[in-house]
Amino acid sequence: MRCAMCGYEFDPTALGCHTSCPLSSGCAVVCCPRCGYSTVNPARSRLGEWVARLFGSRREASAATSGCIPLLQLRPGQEARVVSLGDDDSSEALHLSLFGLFPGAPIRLRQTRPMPVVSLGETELALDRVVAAAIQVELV
Amino acid sequence: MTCHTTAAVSSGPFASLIILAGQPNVGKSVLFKRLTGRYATVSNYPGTTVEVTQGEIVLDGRPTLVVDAPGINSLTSMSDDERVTRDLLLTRSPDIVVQVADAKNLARALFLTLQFAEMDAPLVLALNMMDEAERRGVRIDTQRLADMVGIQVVPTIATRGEGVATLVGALAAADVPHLRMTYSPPVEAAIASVTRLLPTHQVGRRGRAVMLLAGDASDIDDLPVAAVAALDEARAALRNELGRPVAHTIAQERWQAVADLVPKVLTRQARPATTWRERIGRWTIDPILGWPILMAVLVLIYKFVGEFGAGTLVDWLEGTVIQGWLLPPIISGLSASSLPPLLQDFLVGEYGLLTMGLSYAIGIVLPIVTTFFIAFGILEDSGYLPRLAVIVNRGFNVLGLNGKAVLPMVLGLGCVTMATMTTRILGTRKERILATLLLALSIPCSAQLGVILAMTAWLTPVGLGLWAAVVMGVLLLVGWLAARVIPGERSDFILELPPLRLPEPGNIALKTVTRVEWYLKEVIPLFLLATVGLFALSYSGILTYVEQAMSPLVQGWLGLPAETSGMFLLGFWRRDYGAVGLFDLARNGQLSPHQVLVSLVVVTLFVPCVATVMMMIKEHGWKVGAAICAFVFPFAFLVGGLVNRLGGF
Repeated sequence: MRCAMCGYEFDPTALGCHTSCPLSSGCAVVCCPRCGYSTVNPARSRLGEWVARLFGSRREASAATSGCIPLLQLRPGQEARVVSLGDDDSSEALHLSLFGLFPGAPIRLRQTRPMPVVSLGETELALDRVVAAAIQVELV
Repeated sequence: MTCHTTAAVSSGPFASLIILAGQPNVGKSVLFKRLTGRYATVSNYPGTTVEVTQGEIVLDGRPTLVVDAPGINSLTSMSDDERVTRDLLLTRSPDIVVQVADAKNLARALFLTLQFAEMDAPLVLALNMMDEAERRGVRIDTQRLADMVGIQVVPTIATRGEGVATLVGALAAADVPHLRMTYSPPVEAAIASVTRLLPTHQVGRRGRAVMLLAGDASDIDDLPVAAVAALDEARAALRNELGRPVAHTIAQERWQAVADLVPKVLTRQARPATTWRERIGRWTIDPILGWPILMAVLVLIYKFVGEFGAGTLVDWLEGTVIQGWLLPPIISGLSASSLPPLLQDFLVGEYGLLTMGLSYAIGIVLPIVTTFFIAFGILEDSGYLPRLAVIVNRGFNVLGLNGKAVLPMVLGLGCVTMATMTTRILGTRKERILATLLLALSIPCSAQLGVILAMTAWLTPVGLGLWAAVVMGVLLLVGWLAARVIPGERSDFILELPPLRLPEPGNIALKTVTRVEWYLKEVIPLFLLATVGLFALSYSGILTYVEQAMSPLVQGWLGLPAETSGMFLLGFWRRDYGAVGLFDLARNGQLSPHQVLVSLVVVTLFVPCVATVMMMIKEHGWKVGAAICAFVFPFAFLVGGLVNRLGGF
């Protein structure tokens, strides 16, 4: 995500919490590693995501740039190509590949709530959030 | 509803064997019915039926056995369904395999065709649902596909019976596919070395070699020990060379081969605008619209099963037919006869086999399960079930379950015994036990619900609210705790969403009949056995003793009149008796609203009835059944007592 203050791009999942923070773990606010500005991570807060949508700020507009992004950061309806299933050697990955979902496959995100649903050609799959969150895609 | 054994499929007098195989939801069972005139239990819900159904057709004047194998996505046995189908193919060496496929999803179909081709059996491909494919602008050059694979390819529309005659004709000309998928050199080398280990007389050695390489640990019994060791070595060497699990590489290379094939035979016109059916399909899994649809569906099911089935039909069958017409002449006939009183009691006494067991199983439970089977069949065939699971998945995650568990829970509101059986659709043993426990504990069955609703007159709205809060609280608390205590894993939730379809009344009717037949054969004996047990307990005086022993607990801890201990006991043996007893007490003004609340909480939390206990033992074994009972009964009293002490209003 991009810091709203200084514009620095960073991966919120790679950040730990500051021990000095009173809400030292589990909240949906992340601090920019460059300037320290606290930003809500909309992907982690339902309410945050809702408010963000309410004010029309397109979730992760930066997603449109090239490169590898998490599947769940696509907008519903957007198409992409699968880059990795997280752990490509897991049993979930094998299970997914039997439906045709494997690195290189074209995929379309249908919706993210109440569950992520993707379509691959004529096949439609509902995925556990944990499984879906691990999938990385690139825009085509 | 499960039939895992291949022993169930016996060729008997048949000259040859045809196996119908394919992915789930491709209309396989409808085609089976069209071919044989018999019907298989179809299911949209993953894993509901590992059922092998067989029928018969006459080919060239010879009787031929047709087996409808469970739907599969691959032959690398991951699920029970896949294992059953793979075993059928390997051990029964069919004369013809008919692959039934969804024409609009040709890639998925060919992914499986490549695997069947490796089995070296004559193959015919039925491209079903051709109408849906055409509506979506998919055109398939079936002749070109037939030439490329080297088999007969027949377009069909099973629901309308189109193409079935052509398919039967094609069976006579069935051929072993000449298409051979070529894997990457290291995989091919490993396949060659594993093939050499397999018995030379076996057909489909290449296919089996690929399965074994892909890590299929089962079915190595017929291999000599040295071969197993050599197999392990080959597998490990290939894994090292590829740098990732072999199964993944094989799956991916197959998809690559499919991707090369599809464009040669398939042309796609511009996709027509979204149809109403697709739009409604979207709504059913919409985060907002999905809920009112879900509520409407549940209300309809409850109206049909809970009110029409458990109310109207039960009143008529139990009250009018059995109690009014059938039993009186039997009872008077028996009392006039010279049978010993013990035997008379055994048949038509208070806990008689006929008066209690059979009238319970036929008069009360049969109408409920029949209406439920109808409702369930409609849900299955419409494709709504997996969508329902999507909507409720999040809520069930809290309980350590996933959305698939919604089915047993909803069914539990009808009959917990039946619901306990359907827990087998859940992916892991942990989930099955968890769902069984929650069903036994806090899902009131229709008999309980009926009394609870009737007793709300004395309960006051506050009491009803408290009752609901206590039961929901127990459900959440125990579910949450048990999810952490019971060892095992939650299964990953990857669920295919088939398109919504209009169910065919004929299919629903036949499916219901098949299931009712199963109920009569498998569940009714449980009810009868339970009645015999109760009779023995009552006759030997143990029942009275237990009732007396329970009174201090009931009077002191629960603060209820002594008579209610009898009701609780009786309620366990026969739900409605106990409930009616409580109802009478309340009506006579012997229970205060507070006491009504306490007794209802205890009745709700109790294991619904003895047949449920039997079913728990049947499904999960003695240990689990006993453990669940040992937890639920004291726990019900504990919560009841706490409500008595703390929940005064």
